[in-house]
Amino acid sequence: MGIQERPTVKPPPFDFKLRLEDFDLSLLPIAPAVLQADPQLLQQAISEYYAGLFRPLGGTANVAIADGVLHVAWQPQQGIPRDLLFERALGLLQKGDYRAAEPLLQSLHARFPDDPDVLFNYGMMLSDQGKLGPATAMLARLVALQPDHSHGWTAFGVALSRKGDAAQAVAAFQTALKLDPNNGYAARNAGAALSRSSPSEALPFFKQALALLPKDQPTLFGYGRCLHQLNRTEEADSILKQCVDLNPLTEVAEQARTLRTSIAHHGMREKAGGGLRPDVVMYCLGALQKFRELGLDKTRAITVEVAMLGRNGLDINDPAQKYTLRSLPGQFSGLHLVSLMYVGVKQFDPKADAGIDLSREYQEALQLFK
Amino acid sequence: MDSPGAKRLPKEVERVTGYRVVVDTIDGISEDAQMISARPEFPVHSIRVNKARLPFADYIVAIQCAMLLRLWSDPAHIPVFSPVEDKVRYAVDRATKARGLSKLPVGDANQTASRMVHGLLDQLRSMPLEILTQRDCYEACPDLRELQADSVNENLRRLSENLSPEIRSFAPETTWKNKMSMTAALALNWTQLSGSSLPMLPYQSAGFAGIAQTLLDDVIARLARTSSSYTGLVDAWAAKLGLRNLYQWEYRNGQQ
Repeated sequence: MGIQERPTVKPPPFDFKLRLEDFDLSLLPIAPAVLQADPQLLQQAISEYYAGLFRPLGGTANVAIADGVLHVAWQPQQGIPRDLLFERALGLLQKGDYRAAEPLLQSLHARFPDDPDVLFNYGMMLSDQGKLGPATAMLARLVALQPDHSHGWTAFGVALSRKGDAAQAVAAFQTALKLDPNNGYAARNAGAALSRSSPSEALPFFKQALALLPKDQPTLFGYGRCLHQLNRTEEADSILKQCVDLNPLTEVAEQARTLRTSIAHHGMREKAGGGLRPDVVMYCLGALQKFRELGLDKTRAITVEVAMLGRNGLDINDPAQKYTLRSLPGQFSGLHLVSLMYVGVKQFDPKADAGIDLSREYQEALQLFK
Repeated sequence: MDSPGAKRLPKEVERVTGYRVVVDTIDGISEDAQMISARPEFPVHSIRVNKARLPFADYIVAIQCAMLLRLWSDPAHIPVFSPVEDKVRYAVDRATKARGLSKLPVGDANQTASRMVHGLLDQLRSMPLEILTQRDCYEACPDLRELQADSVNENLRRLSENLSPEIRSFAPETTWKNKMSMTAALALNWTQLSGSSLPMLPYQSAGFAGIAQTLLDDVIARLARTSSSYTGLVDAWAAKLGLRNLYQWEYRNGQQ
């Protein structure tokens, strides 16, 4: 009798159901009003959406809609459907493609409600989306199932903090740090939760976080703001500058830039003991003379160019002549440029807000210019 | 900006045009960004990203730079789309009398018609360039494709609101059809790039698949990265949509 080959056992299909009313219409590139007005289009769009979602995973996906319920059955060619699906969701999350990951996690959670990986990732995603009720419930379930899950405690703390429960949040972060002292996110979030009420207590957490996450923009911002709250402005400014330089076009960078502007304006005055800055008077006087020589069109161009550069912040407390303009030859310090802009703005509208108060220096320069 | 593409393109614009690119943010606009191209009295290219769209900032900056590169391909001859006032006024008057709007008080009808006609012209000016540069970015910045998908899908979602029964019921028929035809071409372009059939579904069901293909064929015939390809494309679309007499091209010298 020969050896018989064992027939390949196909893994069971991954199937789940979803009520159409629970589908997030914002995942589709079609306006909800249009979909709601045309039930057939809505069904077709959701079916196509799920078919497209499973297509890159290979195998066969059957999508059907009946009585307002979506049924998806996916049969991979090989491998365990749960693992394949989770890996795909994780890959999408790591690439920052949350919108594509969401329905996969939603499907996985519908099928495996106590899966720790799913609870962690889906819970964090819901928390980021502001769906704090289900997020907190999911993450609470996770830490109950796996009390040694340091990142789970961190995510739970973040959701609690977003709900406004700072004390419980700090406790969760501290649990996370006890379980893993190298959890930089727990340290950062503990710092953030404490910084409003007690910056001095928050500071060591931010220091710890920065040592673990030196290129993390929220950590740099939190640390910089905390230093500023403690009146350590020079250190604060340097940290906030690093924060903006990491990626200037983020919400966090916006906040860091605003804080830096306020620090710079305050520092500029402080350097003269709150009094008149003679260097600014001379810059303003020079600008008045230069603008008279160049005429209004050129004045406008120079003012606009400096104003545009200034949007990304000019370093007005560094005397180095590190800036150039297209509209005016030479090299300029940040304070020199700001003075040029101030005088330029006042030429066109004496009442306009130039974004910085050099009024006393400008008045002095006008007296000298007469 | 994290993406190599988003970092490279502003430098490329500065090299080609000789003007600095300043990127910052702005509140309270409905578009992705506000872009002001440099001129002697405004000696920088300003790209102001809508704060509400910051998650897509890298892609938005890249596409705005791609637009600048196309428009400034000949810096001495930069095209400026210029509506012909009396013809536009006539089109507004006609739209005011159209079904739907004629039910409104005269002042409101006229204001709405004016907004629609000017919106249509704005779409004619910008959408061909948007399609061309979507293709440029898709090719030149593969690292931005996910951001691009999110950004384009969101834009398509917003634009498809015009298919809703409420808007259709009062919009002048010709203006609405023209608007939808161009939007369908944008959707078809993205369907081709992304491989997803979803963007085209509502336009197929509303009967715009044919005109979308025709308009996209015009795009494919004018992919060269020159400003004349862009103006030629706008003219080709305008001829098909009956809008050719509503605008003219003026040219400015960016080097002066």
